[in-house]
Amino acid sequence: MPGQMRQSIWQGYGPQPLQGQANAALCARSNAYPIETYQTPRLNLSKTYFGIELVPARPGYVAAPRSRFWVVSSVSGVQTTPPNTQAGSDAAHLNFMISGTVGLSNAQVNAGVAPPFVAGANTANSGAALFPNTPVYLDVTVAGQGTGGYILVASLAVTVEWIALELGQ
Amino acid sequence: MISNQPGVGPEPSDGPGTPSSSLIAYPMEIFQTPLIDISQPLSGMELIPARIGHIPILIVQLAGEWAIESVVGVQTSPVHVRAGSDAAHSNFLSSTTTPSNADVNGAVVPSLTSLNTTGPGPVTFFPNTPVYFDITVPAAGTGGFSCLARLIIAVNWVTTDGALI
Repeated sequence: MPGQMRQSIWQGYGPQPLQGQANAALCARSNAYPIETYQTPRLNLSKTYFGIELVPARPGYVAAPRSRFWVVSSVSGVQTTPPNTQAGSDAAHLNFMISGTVGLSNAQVNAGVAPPFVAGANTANSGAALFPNTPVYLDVTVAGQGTGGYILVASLAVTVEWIALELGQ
Repeated sequence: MISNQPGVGPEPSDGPGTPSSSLIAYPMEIFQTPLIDISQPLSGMELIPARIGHIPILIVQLAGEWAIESVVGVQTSPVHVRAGSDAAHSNFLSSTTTPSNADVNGAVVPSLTSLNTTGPGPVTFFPNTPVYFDITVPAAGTGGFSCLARLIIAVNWVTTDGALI
């Protein structure tokens, strides 16, 4: 019976029909990958970085950005210019997280909150072309600047939802 | 390059030597309290366990819900709750007053209603410390009021240490 056939269990081998091959065209499928969180090493954001692999590639899948956080682990001195960051799997590294300084503004960094603290990061990009089978890379395009021996150390944590783009019909 | 070993710890995405992120060892998790009478005060219920070297972050898109299972009487003022790993129990959930009177008095049990919070702004977190949940002001009402509900929240885990590159 269809109700019983719906009791298929995710096996971990990839997108799987809910009701068997005969009804594949009419069934949604369980994706192979769970929601995952990736976090960079701690970055000295008073420096620039290019091409840090933020999210790995998975064949046939794209990583849709969900939550994005800076985990600030230390602040020294006073920040006068915030670091600018962006991330993507496209050539410009922009189609995952748009360019900006969200979460690391001067006001937030200099607020005197003792690390570690967490702040939301840049807005997720939507509507941009996606590239399956391609890692998402993070760039720090503008280094943070400051006075008094300024150093800002933080890591970026992103949660991704994997979406298959090569399922066929 | 395609690495996927959930549960074995933060893992390089592209092998040693390449500046890359790591897959967090812990998946997104959902925690749920026992059934609570929100017309009674409560202090120090462990809401989220400690995980070594990690801190839990409230998932904004799944910011929390109450599952209301029983209502007797009519609520006239809502509960005040908070949660955190700091001394004031306020660095995870800001003080919030849901479920509202409308939520409780309109509930067809069992039913869900939003916790209606996005968590506090930048505040100090404490790794290796549980998050505790308090009812600071119980809900009040008339007609022998009581309300039994469970709090459900979803969290991401992030690390606070690791290599500096």
